Amino acid sequence: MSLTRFDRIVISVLTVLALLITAVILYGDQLALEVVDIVPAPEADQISTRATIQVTLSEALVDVPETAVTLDPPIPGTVSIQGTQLIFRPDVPLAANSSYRVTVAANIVGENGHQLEEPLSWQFQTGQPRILYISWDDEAADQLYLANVDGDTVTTTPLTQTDADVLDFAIKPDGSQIAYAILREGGAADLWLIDSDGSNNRQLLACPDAACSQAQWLPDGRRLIYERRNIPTPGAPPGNPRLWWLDVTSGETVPLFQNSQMLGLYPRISTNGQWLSFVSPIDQGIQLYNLEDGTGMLIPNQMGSPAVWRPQSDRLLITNINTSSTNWSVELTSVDLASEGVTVLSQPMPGEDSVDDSAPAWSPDGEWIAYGRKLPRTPMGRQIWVMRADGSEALAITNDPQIHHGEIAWSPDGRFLLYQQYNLEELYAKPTVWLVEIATGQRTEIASPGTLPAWLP
Amino acid sequence: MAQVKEKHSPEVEKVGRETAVSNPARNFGRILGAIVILLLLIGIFPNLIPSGLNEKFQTFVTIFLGIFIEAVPFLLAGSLVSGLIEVFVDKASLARYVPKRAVPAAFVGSLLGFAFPVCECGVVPVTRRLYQKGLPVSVGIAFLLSAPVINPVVLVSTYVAFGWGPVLIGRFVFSILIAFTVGLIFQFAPPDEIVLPQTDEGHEHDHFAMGAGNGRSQRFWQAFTIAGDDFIDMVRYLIIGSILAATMQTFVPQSTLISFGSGPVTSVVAMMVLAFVLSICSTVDAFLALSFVNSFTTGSILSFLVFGPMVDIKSALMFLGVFRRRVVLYLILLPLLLTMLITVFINLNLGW
Repeated sequence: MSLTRFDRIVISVLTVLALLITAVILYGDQLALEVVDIVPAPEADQISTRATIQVTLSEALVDVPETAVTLDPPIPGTVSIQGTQLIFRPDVPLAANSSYRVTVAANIVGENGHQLEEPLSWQFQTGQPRILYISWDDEAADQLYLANVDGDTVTTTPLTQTDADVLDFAIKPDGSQIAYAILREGGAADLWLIDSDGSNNRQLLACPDAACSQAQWLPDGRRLIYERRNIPTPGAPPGNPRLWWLDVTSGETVPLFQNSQMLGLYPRISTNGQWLSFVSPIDQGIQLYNLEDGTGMLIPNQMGSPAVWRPQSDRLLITNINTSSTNWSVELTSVDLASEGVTVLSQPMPGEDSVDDSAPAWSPDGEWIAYGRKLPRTPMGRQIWVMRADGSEALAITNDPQIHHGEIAWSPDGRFLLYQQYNLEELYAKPTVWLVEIATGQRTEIASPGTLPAWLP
Repeated sequence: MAQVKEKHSPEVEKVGRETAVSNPARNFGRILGAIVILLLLIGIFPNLIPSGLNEKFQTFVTIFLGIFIEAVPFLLAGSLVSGLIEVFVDKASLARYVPKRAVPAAFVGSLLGFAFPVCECGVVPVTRRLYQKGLPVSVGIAFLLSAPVINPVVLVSTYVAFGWGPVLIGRFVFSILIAFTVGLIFQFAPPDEIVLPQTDEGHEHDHFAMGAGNGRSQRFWQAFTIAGDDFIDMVRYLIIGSILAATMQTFVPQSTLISFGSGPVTSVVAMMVLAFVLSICSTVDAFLALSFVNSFTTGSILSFLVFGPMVDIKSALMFLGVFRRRVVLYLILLPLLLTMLITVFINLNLGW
């Protein structure tokens, strides 16, 4: 077959194209991983001491060394990947009012083999942890409030301005958002979400025929577990409590357990997100449920108080009643997950044969426990005590028998205790929120009235 | 080329139609028509075939009918446009509006899809008819390759699927660029060297040419008659192309092709082979490509969206009704290598 001039032109063009393609392929992959987003943003300030560091890259990551993310000053933490996101979760809270430099190593590898061109480095500034609590406004509606503490100066600002009462709230692990329940007429309650700076207030879940409350965040900040009680008709008493999942992004909600007869209240999630504890009224105890493999265990308990997880997720505190034919005690017990061993922490005071301890709270490092103590069978207010995690070195922080203390929360740096108090001798006493420095015992009033205080890290 | 006859008797018209589609071709067409009817019946009544053959054959029938039924309306529309061009467009006007110089001619050809919005099935009879009207080869080639993408319907469907972004812009820019380049190359081709004789000479419907008809209704009737002939002529290639594409898809599943490529080069090859084999219409291919977004890079998806509408199994078969075999090979290879060069470069250097 003879080639015409046109054939020769086309063959030449095809040859050139083939050579160009070969050259492009031989020149190789010139792409690097690109940074799409960084959280906290470079040079950002007032960042939460519980902030999670997230870097979104241009392609999904396949394998990342444990040392891929480092902080200066050094903070221990866990590196994980989630699709295109590289996530660093500090094991301990960051220091307040401090500057941190984050460095991401260049040797992280994407699914297409791309790496960062050079190590990524930026810095941000943490802020002072704030205090979140519930108080009531001029219309007598319960609202969320924020308090900033600067030395002896306390400034409070309303965070929500709803027509109805805020029932309870849950702070997202990184402190960026707050999920809260609003009580509506007829007893129903919806879940809402607001950014911790007061913006983006929106309904998270409408529960037209149920009371939805007691939300608890998973560590990933994308899902919640909450308590749901059906209300068959407006005004009717809420039905049995059941636990439900809620996907914060999609709004999808499903029962946690397929078995509709499984009741549960006061859900609490371990810091690592592996375990869920809840009060099981049918089983008369605290159920522990492994969210990863579905296994579980039951800790018999008649108090019905929620369990309190140690920040290290290896132990939990349970308030238990111990009765005998002549006496009874309300004791704090520690349950070790690995050995399933139960240790009674509460020790009677000298000259007493029983205790009445409750409302425990772990210190951020998991070495200390703050709790409420009162003398059994004595008309007095509950006082704040601290003890070591093994029950030793119990020490009273307050000693005002006419004041009832509760809702204790450690500051992220472990120096302060936040609590709610109530004067038993005052006729129309309002609950107030206070702060006490453990080392000095110096107290500062944060809000009056105020209830359910919590640290917004 | 086309001579205008003063009048046309029924006898002349009959002869004309017989010439347009010759007897052997008609017989072949009848056989293919019978095959389509048989496959349609099997599609409706699957129990007609023995149970042992059922699964694969049923898959084949389903895929064939999917491709064929999707393409037939567009071929019909293209044939109709072809008939209207034959009757209502005269060579002199066409010559007046089409640029003579190579670069503008190829550029106009690559944008001609906005004037004749047809997909890859309809574009073939339209191109053939325009050649008969004296359209320069380079313009026709650029039009043939670009029109399946460069038209309002595909613009909207791609926008709906991908929104405003690199896929939409890349698809249109690269389709124009490739069609324009191939059109320029074909500037060097003598028409009689690339186009089949009957296409080039345009003998088929001389008696229907501009000015031959009397009333408007009669001229429309003439256009429909020509459209019918064109349709029957081209549908043979569509049937064979659809059978080939369905056979390929039956024995080489889509998942196999996709699993072939995950790298920046192999994914482009995989997506181009997939586009060639699937033979999906350009008006809907963006929605299929959307399902690959999480698995393939933008460059690879562009290779699917740019190359597929230009050349696939069924359109390559239909090219055989217009061009010589060697030219059809060029029409496959040139867009293939140009698309591959662009999209591999994107994957390796731009990372869209």
